[in-house]
Amino acid sequence: MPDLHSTDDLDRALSALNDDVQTDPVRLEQTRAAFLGAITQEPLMTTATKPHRRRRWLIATAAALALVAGGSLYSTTLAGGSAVADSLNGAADHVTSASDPVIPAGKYKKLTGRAWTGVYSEIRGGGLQWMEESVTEVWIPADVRGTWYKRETNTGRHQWIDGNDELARKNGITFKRSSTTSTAKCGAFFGGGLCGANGGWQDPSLDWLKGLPKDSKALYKRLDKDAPGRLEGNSRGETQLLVYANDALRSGVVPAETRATLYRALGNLKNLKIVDGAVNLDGREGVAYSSDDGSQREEVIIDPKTGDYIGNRQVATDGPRKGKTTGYTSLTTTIAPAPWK
Amino acid sequence: MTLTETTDSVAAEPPPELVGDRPQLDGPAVAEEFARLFDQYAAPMHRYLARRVGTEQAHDLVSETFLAAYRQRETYDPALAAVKAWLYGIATNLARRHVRQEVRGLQATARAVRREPDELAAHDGRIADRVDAENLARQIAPAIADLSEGDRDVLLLTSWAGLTTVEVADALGIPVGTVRSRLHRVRRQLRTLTEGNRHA
Repeated sequence: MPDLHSTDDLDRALSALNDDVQTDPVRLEQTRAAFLGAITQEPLMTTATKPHRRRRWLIATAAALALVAGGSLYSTTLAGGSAVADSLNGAADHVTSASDPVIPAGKYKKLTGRAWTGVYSEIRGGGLQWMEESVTEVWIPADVRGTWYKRETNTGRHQWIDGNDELARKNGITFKRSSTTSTAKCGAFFGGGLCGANGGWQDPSLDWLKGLPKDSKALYKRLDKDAPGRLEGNSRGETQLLVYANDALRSGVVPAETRATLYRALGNLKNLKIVDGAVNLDGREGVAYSSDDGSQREEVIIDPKTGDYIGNRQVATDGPRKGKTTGYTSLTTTIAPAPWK
Repeated sequence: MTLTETTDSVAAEPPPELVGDRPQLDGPAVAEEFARLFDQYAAPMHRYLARRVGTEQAHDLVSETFLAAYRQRETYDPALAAVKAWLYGIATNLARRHVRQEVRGLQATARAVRREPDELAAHDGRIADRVDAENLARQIAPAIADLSEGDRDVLLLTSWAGLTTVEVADALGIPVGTVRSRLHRVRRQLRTLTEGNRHA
């Protein structure tokens, strides 16, 4: 509140100046979710890099390509329009209620996410660049309102882009395997979570999921509305919609019916392309649906036979690393007998 | 939530004489710590930035500030500054990209039509006070627009963000004596306007 009763006219003037601004709590909650989503994707980012995009900063090399994509180079036959929509509809048709495994009482749904992330660290006289692997495992109880368990592991596996182990060691950077574990009711590891009051594409909650449109066109409109526009700093155009959809899919908590509707909704993207060929992530083959912002292509990879979301991938489409995979995350869902198993 | 850690991290406690929120940002629970920082500081920071550059830009700047803070977390030393000062220093630096927008906004405020309490409102002291304060604000807006960036940062970090002079010094990386002398000079300069208004 402005201090309009101060005896000092200057303080009263300063208090009143521009004091009618409002902070929208819903917008702030969305910013929070996006921020926490971003930092949990880059657990090992070590120094400042200007965030020219919402997404984490990623790097690529030919060596990293072989490493992260399992050596599965593919030919890209690009199609668009109805061919892409038909393919997505086909994938959606394979998603049925049976696609979500029923978790027996006492057992856990286990999500395993594997990511290769670009890291940059400034050192005296320059910087080091490498890619490194992290694995996030989450155990979700049959009653999702119960306690969730999470283990994040930096595996120590890394691939140099600029630098070497010796330089890293001299600068105090090590690559030993390490794990962090945490627990939280209903997945609220950072507040919010599945039982959260708000929720969003980066941090879906049960209520938020329930409130999503059931019609694919309406869901597309909702996605378009929620993703930031140009005036809100989005320089990626339509690609940002695919990124938002991927954020929700990657959470592993989007129910089958909503997943299928989302696949169909993505068929409305005007510039969505399909990669005609098997993309291999962690030994699983899928079709990559991609959108290119002019410098980087975002891909959502779906198993066409089951409709399972397999993961996502980024590929540079401009600059010296054009054509190289710059990183990926994969998601696997299994049933586990107990936490940490 | 609970958290355990299997790595050999060090969590040194800051010396007891240091005041303010000074968390360790290199510990195992860094994401949780940043979630707490966001919950504690994001809303007032948004308000501070919105008053300077507008509500929409402020949302982007809050997001950029916390991302930049996370990525620069190794540069934060709890022995040197409270985290609030560090965060507002990052935010203020980022907001400088929008200085022209800020200046235009202040100039627009100055051009707004001066209001006089109407007859009914004149009987309500609260409304009269507000109208009076708004008129005073219009009086000083162009002078704030004319301040150097450094002077404006010191003034508004103190007045709008509620930072102490020590925190402003930590935020901007300048000696506290410089902050105090700048603040004294700027306030004296602006006070001549508000006092001039009273005596006009």
